Amino acid sequence: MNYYLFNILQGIILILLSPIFSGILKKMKAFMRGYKGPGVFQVYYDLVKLFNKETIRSGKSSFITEIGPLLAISISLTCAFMIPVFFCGASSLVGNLIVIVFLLGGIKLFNTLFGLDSSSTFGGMGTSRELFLSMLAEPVMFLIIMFLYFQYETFNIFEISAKNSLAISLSVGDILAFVSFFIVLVVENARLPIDNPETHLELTMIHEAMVLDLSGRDLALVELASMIKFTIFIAMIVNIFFPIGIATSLSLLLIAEAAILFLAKVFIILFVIAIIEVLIAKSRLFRAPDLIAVSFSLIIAAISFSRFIN
Amino acid sequence: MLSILFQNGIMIDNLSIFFAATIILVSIPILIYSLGYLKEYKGTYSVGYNLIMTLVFIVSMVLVVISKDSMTFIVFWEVMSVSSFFLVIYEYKNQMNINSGIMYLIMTHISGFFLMAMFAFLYKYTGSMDFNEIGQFSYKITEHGVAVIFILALIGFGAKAGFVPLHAWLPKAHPCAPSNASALMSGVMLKVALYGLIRVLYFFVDGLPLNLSLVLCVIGAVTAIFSILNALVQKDIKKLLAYSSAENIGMILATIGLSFVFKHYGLNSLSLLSLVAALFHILNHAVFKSLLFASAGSVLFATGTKNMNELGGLYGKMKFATIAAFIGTLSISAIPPLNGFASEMLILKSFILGVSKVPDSWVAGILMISGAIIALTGGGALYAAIKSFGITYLGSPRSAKAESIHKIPMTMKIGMGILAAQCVLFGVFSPLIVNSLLHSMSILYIGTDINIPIIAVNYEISIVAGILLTTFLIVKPLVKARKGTISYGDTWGCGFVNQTGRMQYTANALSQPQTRLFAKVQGYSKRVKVTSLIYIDDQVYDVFEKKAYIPIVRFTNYLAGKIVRIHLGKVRVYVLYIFIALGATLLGVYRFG
Repeated sequence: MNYYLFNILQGIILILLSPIFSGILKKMKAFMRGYKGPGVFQVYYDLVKLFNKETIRSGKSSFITEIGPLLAISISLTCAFMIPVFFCGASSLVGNLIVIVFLLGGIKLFNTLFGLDSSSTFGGMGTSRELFLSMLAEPVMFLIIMFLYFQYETFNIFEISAKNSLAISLSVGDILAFVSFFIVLVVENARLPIDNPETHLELTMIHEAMVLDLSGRDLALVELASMIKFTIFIAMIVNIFFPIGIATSLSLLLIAEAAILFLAKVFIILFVIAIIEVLIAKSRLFRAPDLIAVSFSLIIAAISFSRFIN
Repeated sequence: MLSILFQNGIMIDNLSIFFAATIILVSIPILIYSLGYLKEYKGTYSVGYNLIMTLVFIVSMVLVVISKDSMTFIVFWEVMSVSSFFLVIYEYKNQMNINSGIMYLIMTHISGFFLMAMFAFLYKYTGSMDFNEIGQFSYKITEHGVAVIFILALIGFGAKAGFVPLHAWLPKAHPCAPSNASALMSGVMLKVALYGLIRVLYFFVDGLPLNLSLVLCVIGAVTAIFSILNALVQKDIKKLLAYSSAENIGMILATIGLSFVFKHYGLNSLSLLSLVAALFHILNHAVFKSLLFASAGSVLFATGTKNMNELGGLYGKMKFATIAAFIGTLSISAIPPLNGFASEMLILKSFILGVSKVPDSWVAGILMISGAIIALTGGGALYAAIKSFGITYLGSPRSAKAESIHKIPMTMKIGMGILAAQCVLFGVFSPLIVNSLLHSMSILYIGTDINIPIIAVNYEISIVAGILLTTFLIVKPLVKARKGTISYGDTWGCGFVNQTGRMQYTANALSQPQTRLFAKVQGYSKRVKVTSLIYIDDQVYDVFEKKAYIPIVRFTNYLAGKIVRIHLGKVRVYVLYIFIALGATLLGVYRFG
């Protein structure tokens, strides 16, 4: 019982921390570009501000705008409870990777429908682009899950990190799969070079275009949902490929150590993302399939290493 | 006809019962739905005719899946084909429907012809027409015979189920049929063809060789990817849905092929798992595709058009139909915990297990590529589902047709409501269904109640549904408690004020990015004409139809033109022809019989 309670607790911690990770990412980018940037807690203030603002909806919108933000946030919260953060004790009840990935697809589905719901032209554009990219990213995600099954003989992310936490070194396959997963993370979470999360009203945008007509509470919920989704992806990549030091039993010392290590690992991932975002300009939409193709080739190579060559 | 049935008895084993149950489960809501839907045709076409044909169609489908010998099977198969043909040409005043109907009739007869040949071969080897006896004597079929029966079954059942390249009738016939009929044709009739394939391959043929099972896998994957790419460029909702049906059939076929691959390597429990995945997807697809066709029908009923570029903003006027369609959309795009996800997860799991457990590397490689293609298909399905739902129901109307609409009758709503409820229930309680399917199929297929792979039956999806519901119920009041002032305004047009519905993204525009990658496969072509205005005109054709079917038709016409010369109009010559033909037949029987 304690195990499950702690699972819920770490999920809550992940949810509470997710805005700060976005804040830290912004701060890192600002630092590298040589300006001061907003404080790391600014994201929370923005969310609170949005929550307290009046919500204006398009008169043409339907039940999608009414329940969509609520369902999107529910889905992201649900997923946060289904992944290990810094504790991966026995949990065979939840944690199936296929379920998590498809459930996160639900957030995508609602986002794309918001785009079409308000009958604005921008929305349709964002929807069309998002669906195009996610369609191509789908087989990569499937192959990553396949690769993980070869390595660890399970679909359960808790078991994967428990098994992998004992490993001392990474195999070639693991590294290739990590890079591939990282590209999927970039694609699925609308980061550079696929989408520039900082711009508004550019003809290039994807995620912002879809949620353009949301405001106030709706926008806050959807933004929070995307932040949590981003954090979930980071937690997944960290706990699948580098779970070293993750707590496998409930002891205060182990958990404290695991928490510190987890934060350090997340900072490294965020730092890498920040470097990429500072160095690279946004690419054309039709260059994005090339990046996904790279990711696809890498995961095929990873599977070949673990399945066919040994 | 009935006396034949009673003489030979009916087949009641778990497979037949499963399919009969699927047919009945879908048919009842669709029948309720048709009561209201057919009001549209009052005055122009006979309503009673349609209802009777629909009933004959449903009954014949049930009888096909419970028939016990090949004679009854073929008879009811033909009844099913002909009654559905009459449903396709129901709106006979439209010439296009007649054309599609004739194409359907031809394909149906090709299918029937190959099936008769297949049953004849089975009779040749086993000496029986009774299904149980064929199963008992299946060891008598030689290796060569297996290949022949496999090819005949694949073409015979494939022409009906819509495997590429025999699918071309499907996107023509389904949009032409009235929506209640197309819901049944797409949801259930294709599954009857799959029933036949499963019956023949699992029970009549004693083990399929490895390369033939891989052929199933590859044809399935090709069908899936080709159909979903074609679905993406359609602007007719029903055409989109018809292609999407072919896609799902492809996925099921690939899973059936996978099951034989497992069987070849003696992995019986995994073989069973993938068979159950295929069966479960058959049930789920029957439910959600009927729901989507029914809601497309309600759009057609309300607005009189099925062209998505003219629709939009239907939510305000038909709330219930929209929500039902939304549930169908969630289901087809495999969002947990709905039923589409439940079976897709099983299919993906079986593919992953396949790649990991199969000892031969090259087989594993083929399975891996098929699995990746099926995952890509899943992404495409999400794209197509959002296109059909979002463009049709959301936003604002794109034409006058979508603005002034008829109210849809209560019976249609009830029919769609039942199907939508099934979508949710079969998803949330999928572990129970999968469990019972595993048990019943293992007794039938392997003979004993074998140890079920634990991976398939954990209650994850129900747990997730529970957590999701709890979270939603907690979040909802929490968020409501904030200052709840919600006001409604115009859509923000970035400073532009005179927005009209026509400025939204259209169906064509939404799927534009992927046409840049896949235009060749989709047969998509765009023409831009510049006069004083700029016209953009795009066209979509089926690649197989243009590159394979039309040349065949041309060649046949040419051949027929040559053969016509032997029509001399003299009876003596015709008698000579008959004599020669008889001689040749006798010689053939003597030589090869």
